[in-house]
Amino acid sequence: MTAKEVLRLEDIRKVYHMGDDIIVEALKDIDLHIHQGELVSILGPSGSGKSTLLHIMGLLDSPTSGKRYVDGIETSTMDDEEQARIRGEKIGFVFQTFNLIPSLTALENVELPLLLCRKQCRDRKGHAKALLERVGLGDRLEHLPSQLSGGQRQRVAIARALVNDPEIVLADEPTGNLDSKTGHEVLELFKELHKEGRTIIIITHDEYIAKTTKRMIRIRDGQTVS
Amino acid sequence: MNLAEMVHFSFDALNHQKLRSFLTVLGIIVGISSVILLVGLVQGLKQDVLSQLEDFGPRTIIITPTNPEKSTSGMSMTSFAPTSGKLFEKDYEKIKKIPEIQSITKVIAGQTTVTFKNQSISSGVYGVEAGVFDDTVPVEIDSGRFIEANDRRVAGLGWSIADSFDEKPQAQSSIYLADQKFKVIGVLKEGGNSFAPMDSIIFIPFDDAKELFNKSLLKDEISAIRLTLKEGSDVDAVAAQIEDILLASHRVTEDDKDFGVITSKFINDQFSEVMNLLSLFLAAIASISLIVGGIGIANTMFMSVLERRKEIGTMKAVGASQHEIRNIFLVESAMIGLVGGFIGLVVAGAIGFVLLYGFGVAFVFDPLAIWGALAFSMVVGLVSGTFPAIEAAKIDPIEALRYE
Repeated sequence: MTAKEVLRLEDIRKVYHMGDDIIVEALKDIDLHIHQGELVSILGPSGSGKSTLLHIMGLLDSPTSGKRYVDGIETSTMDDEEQARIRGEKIGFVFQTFNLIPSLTALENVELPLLLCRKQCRDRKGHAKALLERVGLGDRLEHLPSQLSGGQRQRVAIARALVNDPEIVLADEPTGNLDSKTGHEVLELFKELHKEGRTIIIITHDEYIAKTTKRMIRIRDGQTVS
Repeated sequence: MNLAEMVHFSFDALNHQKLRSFLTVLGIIVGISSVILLVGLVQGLKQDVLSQLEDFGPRTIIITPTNPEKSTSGMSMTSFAPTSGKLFEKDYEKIKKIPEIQSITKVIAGQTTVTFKNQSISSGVYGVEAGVFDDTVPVEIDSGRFIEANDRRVAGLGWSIADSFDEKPQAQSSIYLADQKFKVIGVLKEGGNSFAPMDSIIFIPFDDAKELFNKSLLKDEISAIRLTLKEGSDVDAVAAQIEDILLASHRVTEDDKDFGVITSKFINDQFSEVMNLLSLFLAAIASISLIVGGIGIANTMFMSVLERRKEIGTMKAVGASQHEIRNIFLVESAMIGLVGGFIGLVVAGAIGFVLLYGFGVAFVFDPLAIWGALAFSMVVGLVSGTFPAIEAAKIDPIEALRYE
């Protein structure tokens, strides 16, 4: 039995109009299928279009043409309100610069997606706490981001990405702001989560990181190359 | 996110920028507390005067030779100072015939030098009719007695007049009014108000006053008529009747009326008009500081939106819609307003308390002002925060997340 398809991109194109005559084609005919439980890396140099691809996969941006299915739902023409709902329910983001809310404690940061989710989420605190314990920060619940190290912040961010039990975790250069040792630890954490059944997509320009994943997709000049 | 969660979230954000939040809140504190203080002071003043009005007596009518409707201040009507118009004994005699009158007295008022033991001061002097004047105005005696019928060359001293001499004159002391010798028969208790300034007046028999001021007064001229009506009389109707009598007697029309018929209702109306105007004027001035406070909130919120672009992008990435971002920022600016309003209320209350109990300044802390201030400060916050919040909602998450 094959695993459920959580993300499917069909003929995705993204075109930017920079001024009157200049047209930049950031993505050309991308076809991509991600199945539940996969650990995938998307590798490309800067300017390859991997960030644009991440934004489209994460519903932060809409494609110029093509179809995008998230957990079987066609999402390419959704409005802001609907896209926000899908992001909140089915996608978890991990960013290079962690992007924690500086005024909130670690626990509150992890809880935030549940605060914004429209589903009635019971025992938000307990769930958030359990996840922080899972990433090894059970003793840092009430710390502000400024009181945590880079590695710890990224762990909080990972816990935040998992708290809404997403179909896909999108990690954008998750080790880019970490030293190699902590970076390695964070990668190991992703692998563990993958073993627990999570679907994780890591976007990176680092060949070494990409090679640690089972499946690697190369992107160059807005196109996937195999 | 429900409202309670947004309030909590905003509180964390405001707390994170303590100094900036405090300074912004300070603007609202100053605005709200100055509005409440000024309104409270005007209300206190109003209450003060209204309680004096009660002393004036609801059935009292004063007739003066000035037309208070033409005076600009609206308050000079209480003085007996001679003006262009004149009142005469014949006016008094005519008015006296009105059947509703319980008691009526004519008064001669003037200013003269008072000498006691080589010390001279200037004082107001009332010539009053013994046994009648004290019927229309409550007279309380501290020592000695008040003027009685057939008394001549005697004087009753107001409290502060007696007090202004180094050696306080007592009953049987001799004083000089101008160069005429008078015997003190009593000193009044401290009291009176702006309608009956008993403290700063020397009372002498009517006929003595007539002699004392014979140079400045025409024959049979008097300074004022004071009367009290019988219980249950229609004060306004009698006042109108008096007006008609005097118009005919003075051969003047309504337009160039040279006298005034003052009732407590008349004073109340005039006074309320002035007070409402004053209230409005002061509230308008204080509101300017609230507007400045509101601009402060808008400024802080714009800065905050700019600073927290990345935070906003992150919130959108984890599932916040434009509406939610807008609402979060609106709640935050409303909180600044509300907290400012609350503290402003406490500050105004404290200052009012000190004014009232420390300095005896009349101050009224209107319970309506509490809710009004809180609601108004929140509205100021919301209005000031509207544009920044819309700005925040419009932020493109991709741009914001890229922003370093």
